[in-house]
Amino acid sequence: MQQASYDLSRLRSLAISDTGFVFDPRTGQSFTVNSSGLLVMKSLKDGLPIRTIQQMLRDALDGGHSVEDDVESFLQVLLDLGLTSAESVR
Amino acid sequence: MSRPLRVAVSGIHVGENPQPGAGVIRSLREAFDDVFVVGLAYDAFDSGLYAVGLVDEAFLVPYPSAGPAAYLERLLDIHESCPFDVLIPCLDVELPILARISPSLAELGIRLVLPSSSALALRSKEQLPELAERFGVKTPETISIGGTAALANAGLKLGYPMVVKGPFYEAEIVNGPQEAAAAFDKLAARWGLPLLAQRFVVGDEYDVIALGDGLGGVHGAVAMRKTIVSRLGKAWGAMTVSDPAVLETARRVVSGLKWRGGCEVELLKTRDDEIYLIEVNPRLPAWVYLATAAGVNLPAGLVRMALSQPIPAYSQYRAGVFHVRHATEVIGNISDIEALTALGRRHSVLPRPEAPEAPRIASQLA
Repeated sequence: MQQASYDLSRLRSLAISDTGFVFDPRTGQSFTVNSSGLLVMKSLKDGLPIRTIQQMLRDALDGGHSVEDDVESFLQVLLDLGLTSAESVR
Repeated sequence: MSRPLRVAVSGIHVGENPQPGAGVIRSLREAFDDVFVVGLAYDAFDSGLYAVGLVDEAFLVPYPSAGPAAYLERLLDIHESCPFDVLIPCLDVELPILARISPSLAELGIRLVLPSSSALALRSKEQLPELAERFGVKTPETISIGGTAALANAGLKLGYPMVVKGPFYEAEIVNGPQEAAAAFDKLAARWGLPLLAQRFVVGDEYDVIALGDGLGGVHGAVAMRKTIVSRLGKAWGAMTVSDPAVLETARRVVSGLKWRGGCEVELLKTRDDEIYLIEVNPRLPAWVYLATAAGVNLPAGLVRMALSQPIPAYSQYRAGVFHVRHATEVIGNISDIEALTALGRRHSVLPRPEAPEAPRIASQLA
């Protein structure tokens, strides 16, 4: 299965609070994310591979959910907001 | 023991189109204990005259259009009765006249920081394309329009929407030839010709405030993005941001101009991260206190420059600090108007009119 690889330099400049409040110091824009979004954003910022993040999310949701599509959609949202850029497809 | 610093500040009306003086004074009061502020107003109804705790003394001055001799005479008059060490002009139109009379002011020990005349000319709106090209910055295509035929041609060339700008102030986005003609008539009547037509670029506006040392050095640059834009395009709400590309572009312009004093660089950033230079304003902007609140007090640095002291080493400012303007009423009295119009100085010479005694309403509690 092909998976997008993302340039995370923008994401790493974000201030992410444990409450799910996210501030982009470059644009002054702020967002809120739910606990799943928070887990994904923090993990991406920490440089974890997307497959690992998917597994962490699956574990957090008691393992009963398929999360691949949800994570990909969330990454697409980040892409649309200009918070990441798609670097390549492997 | 030396006496407290005394600073004269103009542009103290905070209306729909707020002037920078109030933010400058607020910043000075945070930086200098016991600073004495002399407010210079152009109209007896300038709001800063009546804002509690803003100015210590206030005087009316003639409009710069009265000419350098009249303007100098008035400033000397004021200085004689109420001396001041530094003058901070806060309006664009004051700069050319102050450049002419600054040697006479210096003789009296009045210091001020002004840009060179060549830098001032190069940042004018009609010179914007040349300025941008010289410093390797993009700017929306701009055409000078001296009449309705040129306006129509500009519309054909630039397409709609298009921005029609006055030579000094005001701009309108127009969506077709009819709106363009209406904007042309309005702006030409108010500001004269030629106007400017500019290609409309979609993006977010970022403004950068900074001090230039006149030698190419840029100090204390702070960037903000407008969060609430008033009908006149002013930043009713704004937030400090830290965008390296925006700051670098602004620094390149201020440094290239060898700007001396405070200024504001207006930039537009597109979705594709392209940055366009929109304007360079030749003085500190009305949002100057936002930069102070974020940790960079530029009016304090400007005063130090004027006094030939080193510009402070500004530290990194905080991103995410915001302002929201809060309109409130300030109260004056007819005796204030009398003092300002008859004497040119705000001193209540008449006792405040007594309010008629209100009929007492007895509270009748059961």
